[in-house]
Amino acid sequence: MSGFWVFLRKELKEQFKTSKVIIVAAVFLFFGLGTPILTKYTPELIKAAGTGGITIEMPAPTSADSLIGYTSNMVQFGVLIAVLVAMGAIAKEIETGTAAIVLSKPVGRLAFILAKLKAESFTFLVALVLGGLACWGYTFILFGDANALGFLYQNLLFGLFIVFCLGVTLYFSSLMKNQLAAGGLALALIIFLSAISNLPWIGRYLPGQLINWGNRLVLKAPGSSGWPAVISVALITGLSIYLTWASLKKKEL
Amino acid sequence: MAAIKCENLTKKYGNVTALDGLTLEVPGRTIFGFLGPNGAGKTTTVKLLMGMSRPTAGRAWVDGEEVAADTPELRSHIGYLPDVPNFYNWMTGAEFLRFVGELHHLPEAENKKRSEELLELADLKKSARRKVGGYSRGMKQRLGMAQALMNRPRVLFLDEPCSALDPMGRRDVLNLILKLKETTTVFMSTHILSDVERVCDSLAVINKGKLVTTSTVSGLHSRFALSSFEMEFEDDPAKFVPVLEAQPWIKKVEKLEINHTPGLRVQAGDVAQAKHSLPQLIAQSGLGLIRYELTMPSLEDIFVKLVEGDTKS
Repeated sequence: MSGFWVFLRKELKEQFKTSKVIIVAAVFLFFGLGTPILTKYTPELIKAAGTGGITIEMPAPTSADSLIGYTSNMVQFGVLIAVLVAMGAIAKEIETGTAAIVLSKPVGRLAFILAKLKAESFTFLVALVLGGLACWGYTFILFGDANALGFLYQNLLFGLFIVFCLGVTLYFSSLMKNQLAAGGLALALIIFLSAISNLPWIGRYLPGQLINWGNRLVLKAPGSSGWPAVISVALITGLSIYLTWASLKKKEL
Repeated sequence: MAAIKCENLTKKYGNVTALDGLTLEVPGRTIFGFLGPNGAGKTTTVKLLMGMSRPTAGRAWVDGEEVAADTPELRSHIGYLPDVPNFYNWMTGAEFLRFVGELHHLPEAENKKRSEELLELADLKKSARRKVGGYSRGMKQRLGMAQALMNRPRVLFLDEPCSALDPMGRRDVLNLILKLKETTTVFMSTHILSDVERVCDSLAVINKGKLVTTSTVSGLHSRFALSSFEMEFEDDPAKFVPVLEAQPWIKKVEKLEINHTPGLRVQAGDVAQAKHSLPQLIAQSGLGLIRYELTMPSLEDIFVKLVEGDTKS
């Protein structure tokens, strides 16, 4: 792990200097502020637009709808951003030759990879905190209540889901020569695993269950615990990092 | 002890053999030129010796340690400049050198001092606070050289160090390489023959992945000396040619015209006899002599001969 702290400092600096932190945080903030408004006023907007004589019965929106709506939006956009942020992390460094220069120094390749994962996770942590606070605060203002603890747990689970996406994308980034190919493959795998998360038995262990469990916690709804998914997602992320390391060790720089 | 050693080093990419059984020893504190045309296997060799590429067969040692992938200890005393150095465009030149110093675990004060020294040496002091993304190719090459020297390496690998430099930049880099000789073994891959002639003690020529020859620069010159004499005259030496051709120690006589001045090139079978008798024959011919010279082949001539010979065989 020689060189980890040096790489981490450099990666964190890069997140700021290349405005990645600002861009990712801005997207999360946009949805954090926008979702409660949309949730609150969508029924009134539909009513105001007119329904052409058709009676549409819409239940009154709740604070839980707003909090879950935000996470649903972020699952789609957050995953896409995570893949975009991580897909070039290794592939681009190999392609441009910067990896050849820095890895010719007395440092470990695992340190190089882990620093990237941690710095990118930090960017999403900042975005999650800002977006989450904005969403919860605005929901509380508009609806008069908001399940703070449930929403906190939901964000922690979503954070783990994002780290899993970053880990998987880093693996493909180390494997592929082209960053677009790396991103495409990572996105395909994440979508596939999420799509089969509702299958019986195996679904309990897949990443999609993290989001389902988070939603149940916000709704205070009964249901099975999502711990098997937490453990398996943590293991898959760890495996991705190990495979990234193994792939980078074999890589011609 | 050899500073760099490799035995039967081979690298194949599918059916293509980029390096074919290279066996080589580079003595310590020398500047070693690794010559070859484009695609000969020079960069592949440097990458194998740096442990950045895995050999298909064979082994290599640098500074007494066997080369393998992911060996941080070995890299603490070697330096590397790739053929096209690239950096993080958002960093300044000074920032990049400090970052490299940190990767070499230099204490902060030493890192700062060394970075400033190297910025001065690479003539980048004025551009130190500028982002690397705005550097010219030559500036990047000089920054690459500076980062390779950050740890005062015992062995330095330079892959085409002068390829992107203007004549002034080239002169400075070559002077710098010469200065390093006291403390460092330099392995320099290049196809610029004049650079090798200027700074290298010994060299190897590689072509199509195979070692063609190894030698000192002077050894190569004497090995390929053509034993030919060139002379220029005030008048046309046509009548002198049959006289020379009649001598048993002369193999070949060619007529030349150098800058509109008539001349002859004489290739001798017996150089000692030619050195003794040729001036006498010229004097007897009555021709006005302007220049008389025993010619040596240039490294370029030798290189072309070696590579073409290797290609034909």
